[in-house]
Amino acid sequence: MDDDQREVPRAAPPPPPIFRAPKQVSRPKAVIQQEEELGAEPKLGDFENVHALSVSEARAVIAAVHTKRKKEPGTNPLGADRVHNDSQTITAFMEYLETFSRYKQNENLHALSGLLDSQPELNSVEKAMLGSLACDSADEAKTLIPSLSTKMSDDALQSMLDEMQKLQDRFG
Amino acid sequence: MFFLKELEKTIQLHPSYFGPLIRSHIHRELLTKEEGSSTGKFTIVCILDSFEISDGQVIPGSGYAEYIVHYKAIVWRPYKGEVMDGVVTSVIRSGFFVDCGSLQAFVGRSMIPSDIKFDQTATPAQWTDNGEQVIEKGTNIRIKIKGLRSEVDKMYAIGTMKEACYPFHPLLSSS
Repeated sequence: MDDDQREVPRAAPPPPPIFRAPKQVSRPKAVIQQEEELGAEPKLGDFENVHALSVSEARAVIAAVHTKRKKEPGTNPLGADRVHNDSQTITAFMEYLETFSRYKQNENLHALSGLLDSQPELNSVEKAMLGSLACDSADEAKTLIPSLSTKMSDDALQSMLDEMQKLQDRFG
Repeated sequence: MFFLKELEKTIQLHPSYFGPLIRSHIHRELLTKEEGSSTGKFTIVCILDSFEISDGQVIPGSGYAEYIVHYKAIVWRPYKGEVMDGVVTSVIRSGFFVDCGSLQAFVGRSMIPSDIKFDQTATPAQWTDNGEQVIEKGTNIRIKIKGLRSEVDKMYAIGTMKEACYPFHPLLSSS
């Protein structure tokens, strides 16, 4: 009996547990936020490849959407006579657009975008800024939009700004 | 600056809306909830009428269905360093406030050129250089954004007049 017991092979001792460090030992570090600003080199963050609009363009598009909602009350889910949801923000923006858009005629707006598109070195942000700010002189434009300074010569910019002036609506 | 941005929104719809007009219900939900809302970074000003709705999915446990809507919208996003126009809303001794759409900007005394002084004897109170330049309530003004602070539903900014050295555009001077 004793012999029998001895011969029973001993179960191999369980392998020592392998220490595994938890996958993550520290809290995930916050992604270093890049400062987003319009400086000599515009850094737009997640708006990098988004098409920018000038104040006048934005006004034209919004006006078009609102007239469409008014014209086709059947497809307007807000109801026949409402063009937006009457929030204070939208009303504020409508006033803002009305005050500060300089090209209210659609023909002038098309001419303007044609003019700006003829300058391939400008990106969409610079075009939008030029269209919104309507500068008088090349010097002014380069001060307000720093990224322009290396892109265009003063003379080319000046002649373009003069053209843009002609397209502007006259204020009172 | 205004942008034309593609956005996405998840909309939950109550079962009583299921039916032939479901698209219109989703559209209304989108317009009332999203237009005019601010994410803290940008404000949605106008949603264009073309949009895509994904297949709906019923949420287990409730009868609601969830739809993901892709749409294009005109959004407004201010940037640090951007030059923009605004309307003066109030004038105080330590500076003045400017409204640019949904952004409220403050221009402090140290950000105003030194030749423009506060004049409290005038009614209404104004900042003026005793010449052509007068800043009072309602003046259209051009400022440069110096710093931005965003809260859940609103953005605030600090503006400066010193660097945007053309504060009064001839076409914009107070009307």
